[in-house]
Amino acid sequence: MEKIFNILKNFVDNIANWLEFIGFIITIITAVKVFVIDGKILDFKKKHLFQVRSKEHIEELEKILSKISKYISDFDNKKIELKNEIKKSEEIAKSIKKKLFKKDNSNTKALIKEAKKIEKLPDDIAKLSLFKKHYHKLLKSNEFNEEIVSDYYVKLSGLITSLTELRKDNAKSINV
Amino acid sequence: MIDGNKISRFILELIKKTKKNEVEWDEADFSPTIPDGNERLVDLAYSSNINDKNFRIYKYNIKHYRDEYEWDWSERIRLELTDNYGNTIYEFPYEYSLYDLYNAVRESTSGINDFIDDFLKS
Repeated sequence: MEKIFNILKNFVDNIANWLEFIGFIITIITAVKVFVIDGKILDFKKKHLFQVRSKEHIEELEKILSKISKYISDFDNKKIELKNEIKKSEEIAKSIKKKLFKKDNSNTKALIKEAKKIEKLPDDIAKLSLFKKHYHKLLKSNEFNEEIVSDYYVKLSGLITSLTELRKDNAKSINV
Repeated sequence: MIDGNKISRFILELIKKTKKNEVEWDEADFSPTIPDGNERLVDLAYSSNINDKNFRIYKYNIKHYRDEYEWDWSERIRLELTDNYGNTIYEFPYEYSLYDLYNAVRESTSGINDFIDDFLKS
């Protein structure tokens, strides 16, 4: 009788051990799934935020691009306006960058970097003090010129095109 | 394959020259051939002869599919190089700056600037 009891006890113990082990595995799988789903939700939220807000940002960038193309045709008289537009585009690009995934933000980062560089450029090196003149000579930096703004225009136009395409791609996965 | 930046620079130069009236555009003699159903021409097409090459620019709508049977019309601008009979030889890749070019072309061909100047003087 005792032998049978021991066999049954061992059997039940074994099953309990197995069930405990299976439960442990299920817990780990669930934890991993929750982690993955959480990541997906965060991705979706970011995508959604970009989709909702980027239209406005892109439209603002388009307006700035048009203004730059207008002012650049009269570069010598519109240096201040051009710098203002570049500054505005930098701020918008910063806002867009926060809503983009790392893999999508290389153009935005490049534009912000370029804008920062341009803002520091003097309008006319000849008018600077001797010290500042040498400083710019040492850094081999140019003065603010039409060529630099043209390059910026090209970068901004490229960014607008890529953001518009990204919006279209996202629209296929989330209906906004 | 032409470098994308080179094309963007070219478009920007065209914008500048159009605004300065160094490049003149007219209504195109030959309408562009638009693929039936998927695209439709919007407004006029304009052409210009620059260094013995013919360029044509126009606005068109293109179907952008959301699903198999659902689509929206999106607006696009196309810049092409054409032969003397209006056949497309080369199509420039799309980029947003083409809108600026198209608007500059429309403004210059409409003669609205001169009209407003004359009107304000009179």
